[in-house]
Amino acid sequence: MDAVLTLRTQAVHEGVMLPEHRAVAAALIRSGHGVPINDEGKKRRREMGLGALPETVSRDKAALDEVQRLLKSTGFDVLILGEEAE
Amino acid sequence: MKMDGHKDQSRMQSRMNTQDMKNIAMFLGCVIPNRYPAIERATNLVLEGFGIDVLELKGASCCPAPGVFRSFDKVTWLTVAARNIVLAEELGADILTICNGCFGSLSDANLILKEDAKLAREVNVHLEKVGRRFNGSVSVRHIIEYLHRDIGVERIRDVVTKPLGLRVAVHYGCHLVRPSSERHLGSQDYPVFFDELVEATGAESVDFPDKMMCCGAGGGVRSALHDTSMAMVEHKLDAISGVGAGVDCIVDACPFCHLQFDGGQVEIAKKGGKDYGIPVLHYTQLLALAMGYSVEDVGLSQNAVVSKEFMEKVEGLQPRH
Repeated sequence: MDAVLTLRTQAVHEGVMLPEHRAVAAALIRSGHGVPINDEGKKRRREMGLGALPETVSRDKAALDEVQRLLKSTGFDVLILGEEAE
Repeated sequence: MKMDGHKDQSRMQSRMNTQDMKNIAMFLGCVIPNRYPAIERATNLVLEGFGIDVLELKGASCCPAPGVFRSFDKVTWLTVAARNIVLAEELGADILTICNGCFGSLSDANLILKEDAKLAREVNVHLEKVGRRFNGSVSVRHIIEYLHRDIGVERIRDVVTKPLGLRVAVHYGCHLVRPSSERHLGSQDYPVFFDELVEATGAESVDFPDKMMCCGAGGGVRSALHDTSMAMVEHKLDAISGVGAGVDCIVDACPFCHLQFDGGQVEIAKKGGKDYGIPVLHYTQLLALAMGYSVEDVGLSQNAVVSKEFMEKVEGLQPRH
C-alpha cells in the first residue's frame, strides 16, 4: 500500500489528478468538508430535529478560517488550485 | 416516544455502568451530518440509552477522507486530521467516530503521529500557526468496536425491548477491520464482532458470498470511477439478494458504504438493472429500533430505498415482556 500511496502522491505533485478528485479536494479548501452541507441536507437535519447546520466548521467561521490557514501553510491550496489559490 | 419501565431500568443500570468510562467526543465527519443526519440522530438515541454523555467536537472538519487526501499529500492529511484530534485532546476526551473512513483517517493519523516524532514535529509546525499542538493524548474509537468492547454484547441485549426478528446482511466495510495489525479486532477475513452486535438485537446475521469485499465507494472510486464503483456494489447486492431465504435489510457501520448501497440501488434500477429494494440501515439505526424507537425516530424514510413492507414488519414486531 505504501508504494501505491507514494506513486499517487508523486503524480499529484506533478499535476496529475482526476478532475473529480480535484473537485473533492477543492471542496475541503472551500468548506472544510469533502462533502459539504447543501439545502437538502439542511432540510433532512431539521426533519430529524437537529440544527440545520451541524456543530462543525459549517457553523463556525473561525474554525473554517483555521482549517484554511492550515491548508495554506502546507501548500495544499496551491497544489489543488494552482494560480487560483488566494 | 414513550419509554416503558423495562427501558427506564436498563438505562439507569447502563448509566451506573458507564460512570467510570473516559469522556468521549463524537466526530461527525461529512456524510452523516450533511447527507444522512438520521444516523446522527439514531446514534444520539443509542448513546443516550446507555447513559453515555457524549461531548460535541465543535468546529471539527472533514477527517480528511483517507482515499483522496492521504494519497494526495500525506502532511496535509496528517495536519488536518491532527487538528481534529487536538480538538478532542483539549476536551480531555477520546474521539468516537461513526464512519469507517473517519475512523481510518483519524485512527491511522493518530498512530502515525504518536510513533513518528519527526512527522509529529512537522505537523506541529503547521498547527502552532493556529495556536494548537498535537500531544498524542487520546484514542480514536469506532462506534462498532466501542459498543462491542466497552459496552459489551450482554448489555446491548439488556437494553433491547423489541427483539428484531430480521434477517440481516452485515457489511463491515474496509477501514473498520484494516489494517488488522492496528485494529486488534480479530480476523480481517472472518470477523465476528459486528455480527454479534447485530444478533444482540434479536436479528439473524445471514452469511453471503464476498461478505468482506469493499462496497466500491472508498478510495476515490465512487467519485471518479463511477462505473467501476457501481459494478462493485451490484456484485455485492447480487450476492446479498441471492441468499436462500433472502434478507430483510443490509446493516453497515459507515455512511459512505450506506450511501453506496442505498443510492446505488436506485441508480442501478434507473439504468434498467435489477430493482433490489433492500433497505439499508446503519447499526445505530438498527439498535435504536431494537431499543423501542420507531422507524420515524431513526429516519428510515430519508433513505433512497424506502420499503413500506420493511417498516410495517418492524413496527409490527412485539415488544419483550
